[in-house]
Amino acid sequence: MRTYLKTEILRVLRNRRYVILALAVPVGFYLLFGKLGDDGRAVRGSDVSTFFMVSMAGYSAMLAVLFMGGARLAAERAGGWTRLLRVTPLPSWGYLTVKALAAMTIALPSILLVGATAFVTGPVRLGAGAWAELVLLMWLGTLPFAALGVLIGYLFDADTAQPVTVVSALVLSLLGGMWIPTARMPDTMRQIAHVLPSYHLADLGWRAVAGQAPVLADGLVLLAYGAAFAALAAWRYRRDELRA
Amino acid sequence: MANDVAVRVDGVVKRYGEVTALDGASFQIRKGETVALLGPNGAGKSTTVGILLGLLRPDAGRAQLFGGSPHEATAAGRVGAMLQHGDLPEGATVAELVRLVHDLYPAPGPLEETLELAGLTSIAGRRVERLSGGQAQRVRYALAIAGAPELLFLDEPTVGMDVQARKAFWRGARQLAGRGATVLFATHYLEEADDHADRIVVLVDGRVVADGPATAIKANARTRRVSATVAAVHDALLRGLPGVRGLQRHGESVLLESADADATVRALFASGVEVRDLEVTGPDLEQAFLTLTNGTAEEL
Repeated sequence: MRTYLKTEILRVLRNRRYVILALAVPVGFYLLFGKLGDDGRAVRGSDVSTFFMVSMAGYSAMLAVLFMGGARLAAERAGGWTRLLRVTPLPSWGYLTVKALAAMTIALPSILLVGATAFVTGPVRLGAGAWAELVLLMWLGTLPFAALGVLIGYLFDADTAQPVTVVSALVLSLLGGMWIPTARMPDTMRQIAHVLPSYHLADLGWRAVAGQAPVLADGLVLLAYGAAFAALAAWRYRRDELRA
Repeated sequence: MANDVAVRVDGVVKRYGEVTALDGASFQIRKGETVALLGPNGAGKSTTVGILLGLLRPDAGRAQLFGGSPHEATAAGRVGAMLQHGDLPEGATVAELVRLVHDLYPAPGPLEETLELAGLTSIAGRRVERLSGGQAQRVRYALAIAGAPELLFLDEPTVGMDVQARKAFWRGARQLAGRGATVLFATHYLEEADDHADRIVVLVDGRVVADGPATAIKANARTRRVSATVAAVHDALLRGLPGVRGLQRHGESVLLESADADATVRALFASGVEVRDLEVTGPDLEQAFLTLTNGTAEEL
């Protein structure tokens, strides 16, 4: 299974769409809105650059793990690759485990790349402890999105799963306050943001860079979403197996 | 000897809605045998393979591998399969993919040997999305044998291969069978079944209509029935006609089983005996099997 995991990660790193969509684009957005757009105002206890660094790290990681499931998984299902694996000794939980582990592995470069860009080019200056806290918490926070990616892969066919993935990431990041801080949102919008997992993922990071202690609510909401997505994905997975 | 049996299919029925794909099929394969599952398209070959691999559930009957469930056998790494369709996951190289499957099995064969047997050594570093159809087919074959399985399923393995690739493919497959592996391959080429199988199981409309060594099946396939109205006094002469292997009489009409209907009919007319209502019909297998053998002659 280790070989499968390794191959799975290599496969996605070679995928041009992943590299552009999940790595290059968020870095570009950071440079545009974070670095160049920094007007000196304070956002959530940090400056604009730092705020956007966290947002784009979250957005990039979210896209990366959604990408791992999503259209790729749908295509592997339709194309018969999963059927071929079922004939091998790979246990039935093995496929989803590899997918989830691979997703978590590729979430890390997303966060690190945006962070490194901000560190090298920008005014973002944090202590080593804050950097470590930022990376670790945001990394763990992407777990529910890995489950969501798998769920999308089981709910839609390959053609539909692709746009669904991209639109999900966009909508989640927009409504989750990654682009426009929730403080500047109307009340209703803010209330919507506060129930979305994307807001709580970013909130882990925003608190880390602002020197605030992490709050339990962020962790609990993400955990609840993770459990719900995983349960739904497992249900679809089992249905898929029985039908085949 | 139950211990000798690698594959047991026992009265298996499989329906897809209104369509009955398998209608009480039964056969067995002993360990070490190479058996062809021969039948026209839609006969239920792939369904049989799917059930034996545990990918499909039979509606009735039982399918067993090594005396246990198909799932037990696949989980233990005793089974390898080359299915008819299966897109290879893009982004991986040929060697990476073969190694992936190789590492999933408890006692795989040497990696280099697998690549060589499948004729992939020269393209081992190529990405799977850049392979031709025939090359991809060889990769699917490599994935089936990478784990050095005791039991190998090949579902129409040579479809889309040219004559040369087909030859190379069977050379490799025979090498594996020579090491004691049990092989079941599905095909609609009688020639292929004849050349490479110890035994042929003929599947038509979801039922096993013939099961035996290739020679017996082929003789069966060539058998024609010649029916005519001929006076009973000529029976001895009829029995002596070339190709005739059996005679049944019902009053004035007679039914001859012939291994060479053309010669029989020619000799019958040459004999000067009065013959009426002459009719030649196909073998006692079903019409579909007749189509099958004709198709084979055209395609090869």
